Amino acid sequence: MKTKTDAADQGDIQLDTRGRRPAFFEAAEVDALMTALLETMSQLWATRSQVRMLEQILLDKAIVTAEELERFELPEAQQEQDRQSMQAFFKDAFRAVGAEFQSVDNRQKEIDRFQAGKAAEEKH
Amino acid sequence: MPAALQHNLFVKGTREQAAKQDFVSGLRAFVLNDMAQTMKSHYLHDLEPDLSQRQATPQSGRDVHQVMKSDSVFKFYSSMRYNAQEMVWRSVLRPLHHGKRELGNRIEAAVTSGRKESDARLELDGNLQIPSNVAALDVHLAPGSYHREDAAADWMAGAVYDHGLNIFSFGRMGESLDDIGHSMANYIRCKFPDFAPSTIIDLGCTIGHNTCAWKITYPQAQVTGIDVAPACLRYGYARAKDKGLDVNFRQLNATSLDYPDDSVDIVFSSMFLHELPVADIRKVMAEAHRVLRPGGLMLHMELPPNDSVSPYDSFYLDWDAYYNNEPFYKAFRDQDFTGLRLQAGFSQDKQFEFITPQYTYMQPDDYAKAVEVDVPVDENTGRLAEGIQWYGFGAWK
Repeated sequence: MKTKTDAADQGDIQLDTRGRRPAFFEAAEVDALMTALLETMSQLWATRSQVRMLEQILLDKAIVTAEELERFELPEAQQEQDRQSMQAFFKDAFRAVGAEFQSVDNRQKEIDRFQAGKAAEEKH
Repeated sequence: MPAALQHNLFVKGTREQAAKQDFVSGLRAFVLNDMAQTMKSHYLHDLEPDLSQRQATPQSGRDVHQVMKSDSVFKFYSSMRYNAQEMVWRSVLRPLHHGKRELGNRIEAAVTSGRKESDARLELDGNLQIPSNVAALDVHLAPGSYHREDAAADWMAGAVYDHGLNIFSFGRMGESLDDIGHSMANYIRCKFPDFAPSTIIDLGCTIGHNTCAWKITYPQAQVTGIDVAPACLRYGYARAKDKGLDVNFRQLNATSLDYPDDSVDIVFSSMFLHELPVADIRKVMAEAHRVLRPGGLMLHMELPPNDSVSPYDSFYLDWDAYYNNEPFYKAFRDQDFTGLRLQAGFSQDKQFEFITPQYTYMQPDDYAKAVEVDVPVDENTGRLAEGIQWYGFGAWK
């Protein structure tokens, strides 16, 4: 069965939330790096989980030895698929870079203004 | 891995997708348990004493928020929680879109099976205007919000909500995400054993996960879930059918119910009022009072009001208003809940509020004993973490 990596399966699915992201840190770059870090951790966890399972199956069934696992290389077509997946993975991880940010002060003021506006509407 | 949802509309995804969902669920559990405790301890032991010495002790959640915004622990907590929320949706959108065709077949099968012997109906109103509190922003950071329809008879927004909530709740909301509904319904059943409702409506029901709990608790009652989002209603209808439950779903705005006066026994909502502007909350309660029969019950499950918790807990529970695209949350929790009910016509001596443990995590007998004792709001009330208890408030007509 052909397996498909998650990142390569993105297609035209709308994954991003509308609106500006809150900047919790002084530099928006840090917020973007936090996103990248957590995405990377998520992929690392998924990969670790898969590798651990697959290696165990292979070894349990005596299909390969530990040495053969170390030496194996993927065919070129699959390597190309992996390269494409890597680019999609980068897009995921760095999605916050260049996104529109607002300070938490500004965000709070905006919501306060919004609520004040609604309160004014109620009075009328 | 996150536990599978207990119905046939559950989409498992690939092993990699499931592993990522597992990560997101675990990340949320870590942030809302460990990091939240670290942040509170840091505030109480490091920040507040210093502020107190300078006679600047925060008096409200807003004051605490002001202090915390420049604090490193808050920044990391918030950044991780915000990103985890985005990742909840991202982790379910891919497998759901990948498995869309097959899920569509299962939804069709759920709706058509048992059609003959079931009276349950799905009623949609194509002319209903989606209110701006749902349409103008991506509520809960969910891409496309809850009303999204990309095709005719679309149900995807409902599937996204169901699967997303499963990751979001990291196992704290019951096997079918219905613990709130079961806890509220069984609290009423245990406390008021002579009350036998025949008509129950659940406002802002989304996919009816908590609506179903009322049908299970009161099987003789006609139970109807109400929402403005058609995709959620279509999915919820199929979900209930799949579980063998005759629950009606109707596309209606809760601010303007079309039920006759004095015609309903219970008007319920869970985690719904806080998504509305206060003016709309008043309309919802007035409508509840109008449609309830004398002796009927209005019941809402929510986070506790800000005047019942400490300034720190108020700050903590208000996080979603600022950072989870739920802008009305704080304004709602700042309200006088007694006053809201009074304005709607419910007399003060018929009002009540309560805390309930999680019904689906206990033996029924233990639950019945537990709710015999009234307990006050505490730091675990409504806070999605270990030891959570739910808050409800209501009134009899």
